[in-house]
Amino acid sequence: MKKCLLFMILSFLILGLTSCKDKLFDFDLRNVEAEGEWGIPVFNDKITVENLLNNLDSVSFLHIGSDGTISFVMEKDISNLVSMDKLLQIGDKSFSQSGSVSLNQNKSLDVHLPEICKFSLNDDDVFLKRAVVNWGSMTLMFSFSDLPATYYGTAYTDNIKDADGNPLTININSATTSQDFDLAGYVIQGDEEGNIVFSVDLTITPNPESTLGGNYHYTCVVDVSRLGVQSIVTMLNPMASTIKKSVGVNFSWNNFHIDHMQIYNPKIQILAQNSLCAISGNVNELSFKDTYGTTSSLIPSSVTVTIPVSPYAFVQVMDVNTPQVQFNTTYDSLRLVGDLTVNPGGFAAGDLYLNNNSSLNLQLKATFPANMNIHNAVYNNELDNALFNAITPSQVSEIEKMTLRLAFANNLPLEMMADISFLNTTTSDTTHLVMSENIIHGSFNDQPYHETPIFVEVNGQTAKKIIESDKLLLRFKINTQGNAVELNTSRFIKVAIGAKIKYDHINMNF
Amino acid sequence: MKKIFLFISIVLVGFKVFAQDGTTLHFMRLNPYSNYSSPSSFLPYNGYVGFPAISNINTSLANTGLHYDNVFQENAMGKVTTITLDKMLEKMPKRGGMLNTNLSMNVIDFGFRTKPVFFSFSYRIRMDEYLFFSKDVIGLVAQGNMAYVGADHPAKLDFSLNATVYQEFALGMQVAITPHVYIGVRPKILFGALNINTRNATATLYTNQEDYSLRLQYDLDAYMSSIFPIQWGENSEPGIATDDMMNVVKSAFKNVGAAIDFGATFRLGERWGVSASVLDLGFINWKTNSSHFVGTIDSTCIHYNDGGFVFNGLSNEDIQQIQNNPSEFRDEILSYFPMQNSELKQYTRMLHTRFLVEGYCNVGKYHRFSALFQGRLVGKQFLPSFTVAWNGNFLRIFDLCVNYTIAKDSYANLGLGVGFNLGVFHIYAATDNLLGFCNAKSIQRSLLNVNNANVQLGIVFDWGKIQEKKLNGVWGTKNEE
Repeated sequence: MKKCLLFMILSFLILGLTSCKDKLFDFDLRNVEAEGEWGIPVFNDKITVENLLNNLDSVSFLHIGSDGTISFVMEKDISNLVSMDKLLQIGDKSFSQSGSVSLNQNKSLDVHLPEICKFSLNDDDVFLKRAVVNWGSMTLMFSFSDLPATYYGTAYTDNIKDADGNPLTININSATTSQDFDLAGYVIQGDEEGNIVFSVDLTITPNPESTLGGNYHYTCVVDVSRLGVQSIVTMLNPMASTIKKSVGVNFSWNNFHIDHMQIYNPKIQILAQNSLCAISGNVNELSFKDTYGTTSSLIPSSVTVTIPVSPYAFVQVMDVNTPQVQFNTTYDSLRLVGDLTVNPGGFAAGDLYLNNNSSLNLQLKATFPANMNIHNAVYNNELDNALFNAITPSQVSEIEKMTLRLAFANNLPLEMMADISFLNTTTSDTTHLVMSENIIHGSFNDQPYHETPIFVEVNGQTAKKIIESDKLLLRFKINTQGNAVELNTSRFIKVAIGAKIKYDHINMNF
Repeated sequence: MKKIFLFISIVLVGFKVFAQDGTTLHFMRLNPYSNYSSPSSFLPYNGYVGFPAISNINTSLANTGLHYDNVFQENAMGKVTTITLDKMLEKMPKRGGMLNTNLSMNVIDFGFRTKPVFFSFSYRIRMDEYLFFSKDVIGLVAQGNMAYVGADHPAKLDFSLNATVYQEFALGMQVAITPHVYIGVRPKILFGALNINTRNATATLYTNQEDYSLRLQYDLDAYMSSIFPIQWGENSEPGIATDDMMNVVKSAFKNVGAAIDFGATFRLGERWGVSASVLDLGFINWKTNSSHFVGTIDSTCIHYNDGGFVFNGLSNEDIQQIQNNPSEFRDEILSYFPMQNSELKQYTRMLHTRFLVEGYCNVGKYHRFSALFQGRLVGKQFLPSFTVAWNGNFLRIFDLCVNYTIAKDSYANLGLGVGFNLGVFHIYAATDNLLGFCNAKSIQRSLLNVNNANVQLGIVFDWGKIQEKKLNGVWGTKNEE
């Protein structure tokens, strides 16, 4: 009986513990019942003037004074403003000279014919004293008209010498009347009058059964092909040159667009590195220009400049203060127009040494202080909607209400209008939180002006659009309304966006 | 997956508010193991030997706050479709939740009497684990941070985990020093296997009502020791280095501790008596693979402010970083909460000491009515409970106990214990909460929905039944033979 009772009890326990089939933890999760509200600080950042201006491209750079004052310094180089090609190249020239010689002999004889060809490479504006030839050639043709004899000999000149100082010597004979000669490496140095003089030494042998008697005419022609020279020493008459140069500039800022603005008291300087000779003239135009034809002059009127010789360093040749300059971020070129006179002293200035490295290089330097009157500048910043992106789309539909809090603290001495919006780049759908009529007041002391926070309550549908947006757009429009403002790097605008999301349950996306 | 959930739930969810070593068995006078919670109580045998490994298996589960039916909602097909955070929060006690598990298994045990002392010896494997968490942990998830706004109303995310696994070798002695005074003492040598102890694991989240800015204060101070070689993964997740298992055997007896159980029973005449006991008063000195973890907020991080991590919103730079290199951003945020892990030579932790005070009244030859107050110290917490019980012995064969216990956050605990002593063969089973097995759908579901569930059962061989009055010649009911 006892054993039977024990068996029954044990059986009951074992069955009770093992026979129940109850599926536990069999998940097909769809949602979480939770009625809650989360407050999240979504975005909080200070946009300082320094942050803003650091977006400028490399053609301009920000200069920040020790007291935080800002100026933009733009430097542009213009190289080889004046061409020296005219002086460093000698064009094709041909010189011809005739003469006669009296010969009475029936046997061989030696004849010296001086100055059979005398010519000059100079013109009215250039007196060439010495030139080192880089490339080019010369052809010398010498012949007798009716000489009954054969001859041979050399034509030579002391005015053209090789690198070792040996005079140029050309072999001539009666069979070959024309001789070409490569002048590369030779030095041309005229006589006191600038002339190059060829002479000839000949050995003449009468033809058999012929006797020389009487005057015999000869002709010498020198053709100089276009010569390039490495360097010259010359005297030069004043040489006028008109310059028109444009260089590219780029003021496009990543996030900033300005319709236009006036910048007050910019300083415009021109520096020159001159290895040519003294130069003077006028800068008639220095202006920004855009593709729409809009121009803005950086100098109020034509400026006279005198450019001394300074082969190794830039020296300032112009320094102009302009009351104000119109500025537009669309400007894409800087244009320089002027007329210059090279070597205004003329021959009286003496010898000039020029070589193929001689040049006139300019450096334009414009310093714009951050003292400006801004018309409709718009700052755009497009950010990832990072925090909201953590919410999955399936959960979005459960949002009952969302309240967005926008707070601004403005330390800039100007009013601006804010437009905060969310953009869905897939659908191009934009949801504006505040429109541009919301004015953020400026601060005119060191303390930021704290605007009363703006609370924007949106329903579930709008909340869904905001959360599904992938971009947060911050847009500030600045207009100083005709007043000049001076910016300092420490000035800023602070933007804080918070969101309060209320939900009554959460969809599970298992 | 379901099995894993089930396992984790049973292991973690378990754990008791009051049950500890099984309160019901304490009142079952014919059971030799009733002496475990009252070392001075009289054992009515000349000797016993436990059936190896199954003589005394005691497992207790306590769960206040995370009941299955409060957490999950099923559809008609029995699928869990909804997590009911609102309901879970509503049902959770104000002071927060507790998940506790307790397991004790006698490997070898025996006892014998040499007048007037009863000696006993036991070798037990014991596991004791308590996890406490504040109500705000669930409240923050369920209600959001806007339910906790302002400087005087933060979300307090407190955790406390104390877990110990150890071997226990105990030598017990019970003796009647006078006919009215029994005393008992059970010194123990302990060998720790695993200890996790958080002295402090708190996070406090403040939310500014105006701008929703968040401020988190966080502090972690924890200790861990294990005979298993622990290796830390890339993300500081713990794991066991299985390539060095020989060291486990060598380390099994390195974390040495000592403890004592003692108690006294005062008999006030034939009917009445009182007893008092202190159990598990002792410590373990943890030496193997001991580590100390300290987590703070990096004071050099840009979001650090006056001891807290302050988040006012993402900056432009943050957003760019998230866009371009999200993993770097994540690593940077994690670096703001550095965890320093330093190896320790040793550290000492006290056991969860238990105190019992009992009064009883014998009615007739079979019945005893008792009232028991007991409490346990777990870290800084004291967990009290109060039990009234009836125990009936019939023909010295059938041992029956019915009791009711009230404890912190647990008011419906009806205990039942049954034991049969057939010759030397003694089988028994007891629970501190019979309702824990009474769910209409299944016992498993029931276990996951009660604050307390406990089972203690086993087979023991005992012999030489003896009456108290025969032993000391003083006390015994008239009908006792």
